[in-house]
Amino acid sequence: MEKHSKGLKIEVGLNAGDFLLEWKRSALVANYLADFMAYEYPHREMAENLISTVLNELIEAAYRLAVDRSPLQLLLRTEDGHLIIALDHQCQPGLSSTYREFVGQLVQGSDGPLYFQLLEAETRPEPLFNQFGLAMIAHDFSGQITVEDLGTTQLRTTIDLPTKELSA
Amino acid sequence: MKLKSGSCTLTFDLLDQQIDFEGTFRPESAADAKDVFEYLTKKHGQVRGVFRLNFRRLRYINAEGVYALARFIRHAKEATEAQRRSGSIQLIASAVLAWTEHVLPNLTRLWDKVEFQVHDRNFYGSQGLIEDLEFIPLLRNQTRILWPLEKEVLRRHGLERGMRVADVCCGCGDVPLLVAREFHPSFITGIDHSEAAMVYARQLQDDFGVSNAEFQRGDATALMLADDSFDFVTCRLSLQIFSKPEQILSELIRITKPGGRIYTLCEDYDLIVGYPERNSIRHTYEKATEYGEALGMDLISGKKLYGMLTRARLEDVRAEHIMVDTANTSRPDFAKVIESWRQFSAFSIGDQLKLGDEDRARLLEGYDAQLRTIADPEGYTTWNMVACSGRKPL
Repeated sequence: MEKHSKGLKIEVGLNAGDFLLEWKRSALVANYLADFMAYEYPHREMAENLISTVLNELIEAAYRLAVDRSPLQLLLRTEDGHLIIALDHQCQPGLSSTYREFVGQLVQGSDGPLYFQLLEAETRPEPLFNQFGLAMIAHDFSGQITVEDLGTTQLRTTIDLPTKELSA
Repeated sequence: MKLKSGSCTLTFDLLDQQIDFEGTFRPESAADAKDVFEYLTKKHGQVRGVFRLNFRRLRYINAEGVYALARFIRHAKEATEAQRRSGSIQLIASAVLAWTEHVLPNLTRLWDKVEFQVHDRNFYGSQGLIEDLEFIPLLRNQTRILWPLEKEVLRRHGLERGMRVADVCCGCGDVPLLVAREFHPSFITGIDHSEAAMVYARQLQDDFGVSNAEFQRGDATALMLADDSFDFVTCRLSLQIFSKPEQILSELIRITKPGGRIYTLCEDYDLIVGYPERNSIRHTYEKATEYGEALGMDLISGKKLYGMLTRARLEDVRAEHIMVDTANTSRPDFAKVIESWRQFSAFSIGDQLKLGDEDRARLLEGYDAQLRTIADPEGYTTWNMVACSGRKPL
């Protein structure tokens, strides 16, 4: 963890296997980091609740995409009116392009058609990697999601949350 | 009547046709959320008309949890339509939980009989006036003259060193910080619905150098605090400004440990007197009471506390009159409070109620008379409150 004039930075190394064994640890990490980061914002309770929800959905998605027991590297930093959450994670063979395509659709339709399509559907998309959670991040919390290919099945999913959203 | 599903508890209240969610609802899968879905459908089948889902104490949800709610709403729609009966669903959110305001409104898309509401907007609606930063100097002035008397009352009502204390509706936080400084509790938390007040309280905490206190924004009718967790719970000068104080009182009792005490303090405008300009002062406080009532406040509620705490089945209920007067208080400090009230009552409340010039002038007359009384070395006037506390049964 670093604190400097430009803001705060926290980096946490996790393992997808941790969530496989104990599901609730995803919530534990999300709540802890959110509680810590929330002190950076004047409306602390709102910020905590929002950051925790976003983080939890991201971790759940990464866990479902991940190769068993592969590492997850989570980085949170505050930067010029934004909270940036970056998660480096591995992706099961064959899921990477589906995942990236889905995130691309989210970015294009952040006004909601895909969100409501998922919410209203009787059945879940296949393969399932928390599509609705990612849609919540984009639609409900105005998070901008991008996915970067880091090579050898390694991806970096980044969420950019505007501070105004955290202070609303 | 209750369902415990992981970290989430659902409680059904048949009288209100309402299910209260509490805790965290982050299921891993649809199978993991099955018991919640089944509970909702079963209870929905038992009611007619409005079915309420109250999320004000559900701190977190995940996508799978939202899916479970969506599935339930679709089911409720189909069941209601198939039975050709009338029915609707109310989703009740809290303005202090980001997810409820961001996520729940989207569920109204699933059925046109789903209504979304933010409880605090209704409950605290008329109190917008006192949630502003501008209200804080008034609170500070009040504390300055009230604290020297009230700290002795708190002592007599059982506040002691080492206790875990909560001050609900703590305003700008000065009183919890004074409690921290003078009573040395093991921990004290101050909760208020006003974001501006909480920001101010945290700054004040730095100024006071108090480390064993914490402030959090919260809804006094749905506190994010565990059951039975405090030795001494206070709610000062606040029950009087809500039209349904019993909703707050039940939360105060819930978070108090069995054997712990709940301490309340309310003003009572009926008891305020002044001399020599007796009539003018009385008239103003009668009118202020009437105007407060129009905004859902009860400014003569001090005398009602004893009954309220007794009806709530608290034990060893103690009541005590606190009277700030020109004999026991610095006159300049007392005058500052009356000046703040004059401004707040005649202009902030007056503007909201669209008072005419004549009514406003009559109201100002009494405050001005009271200010003259304070300035007169022989004048006598008061500010009256009733402190009342009770013990939660073991």
